[in-house]
Amino acid sequence: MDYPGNFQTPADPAGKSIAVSRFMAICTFVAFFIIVFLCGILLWSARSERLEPFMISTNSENGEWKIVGKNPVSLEYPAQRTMQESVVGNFVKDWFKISKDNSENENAWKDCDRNVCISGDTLMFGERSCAIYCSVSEDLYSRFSYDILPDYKKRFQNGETWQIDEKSLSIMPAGKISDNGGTWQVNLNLVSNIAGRFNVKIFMKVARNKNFYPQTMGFYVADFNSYRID
Amino acid sequence: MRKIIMFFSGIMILLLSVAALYFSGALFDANNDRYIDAFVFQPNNLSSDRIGHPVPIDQLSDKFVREKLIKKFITEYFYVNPDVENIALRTRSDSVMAAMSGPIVFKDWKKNVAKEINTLSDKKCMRTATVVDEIIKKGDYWEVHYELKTWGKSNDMNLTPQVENGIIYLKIVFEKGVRDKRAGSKFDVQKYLNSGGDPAAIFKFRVDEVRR
Repeated sequence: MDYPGNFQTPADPAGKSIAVSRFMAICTFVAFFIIVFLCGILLWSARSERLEPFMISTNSENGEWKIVGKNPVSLEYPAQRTMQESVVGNFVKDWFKISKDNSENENAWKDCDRNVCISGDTLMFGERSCAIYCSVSEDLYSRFSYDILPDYKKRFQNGETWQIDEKSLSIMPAGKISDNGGTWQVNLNLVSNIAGRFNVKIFMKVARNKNFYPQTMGFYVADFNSYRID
Repeated sequence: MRKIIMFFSGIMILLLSVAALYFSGALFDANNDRYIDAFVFQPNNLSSDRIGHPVPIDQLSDKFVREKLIKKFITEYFYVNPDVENIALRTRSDSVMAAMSGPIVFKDWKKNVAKEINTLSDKKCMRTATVVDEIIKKGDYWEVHYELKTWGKSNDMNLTPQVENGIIYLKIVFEKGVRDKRAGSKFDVQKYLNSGGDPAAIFKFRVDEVRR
């Protein structure tokens, strides 16, 4: 071609059929993607209407409503939460224990040095030495020794013993539980050799200080409030 | 020859369409990939997840749901536990109490009852609230007989609770079904429940007036 002198390019005899096949190829290409897109929409619309029933569990005692079966929270329990439950469970056993052996009682209720708790000689399995002191804040221990202990000693002198019925122990969160603690609600039956069996409800706050309570990953009981229900 | 090429091209396109269909379906499923393992755990006797028996469908009437919601409202209105954070959460605008009350009722509750609850909570008291009699409608109001049990201090195993009986009149709005809107904006029930929201807030239930 003599460009720019000659613009008269000869027409290609096959030009029309090439143009038609190109056009058809483009149409096929577009149709292909439209089909894929429509298939996606079809699947989506078929799957988007899903019945998701939920079951509500109501607690007439505390008015708590929650979803069961659907499990809104993760089924995985992190170590922090399990440790808190362990601290809660062990502590209520120690708090509500009045043994017929006075030395065991005195050992569990006594005021100890914080370093003894940190050293690891206490809180071993089955060991109740400093059981209350090593699990609580200074403030709560102070409340225990001034408000609770005189009553416990009086009960012991009257020959009363206490222990919890471990089968009745139920521990559940009473609010949000974080890696640094939270409020727990505990229900249990307390067995007294004089007063018989009675139901107790407890609200306890667990907090965390890794320096003073290393044996429980730092978790300790910061507040403890129990009530005799019947 | 050309026709054969066209034929195979058509087959090729068809196969590509099927493959695309399969992959688009797989992509869609990958977004919501769930496996169902065919075994069932029986909740332990001590587990808080033990659900008891579901209410039979013939018992699950509007009346049943309404009465449950009224009982829930009474509990939310009165109960006290020794955790001050609890009452702080209950007075928030996204609380279940706010969802179950009209604006005036919630404002009045915060001004009067919540203050009393806060004081009791500070003193380590506990109070339970239960509906003790049948809930009956009198005119525009529902008459609710309740019983409050108050433990004035904690950690005293000799203490018996102080019992107080009372009557409260509630003017309520209740419709069948669950909410699609809350506070004027769209309300996604599944999202709300998945984030741990209180199920009582999803019903079309509102207390517009409280008389004591």
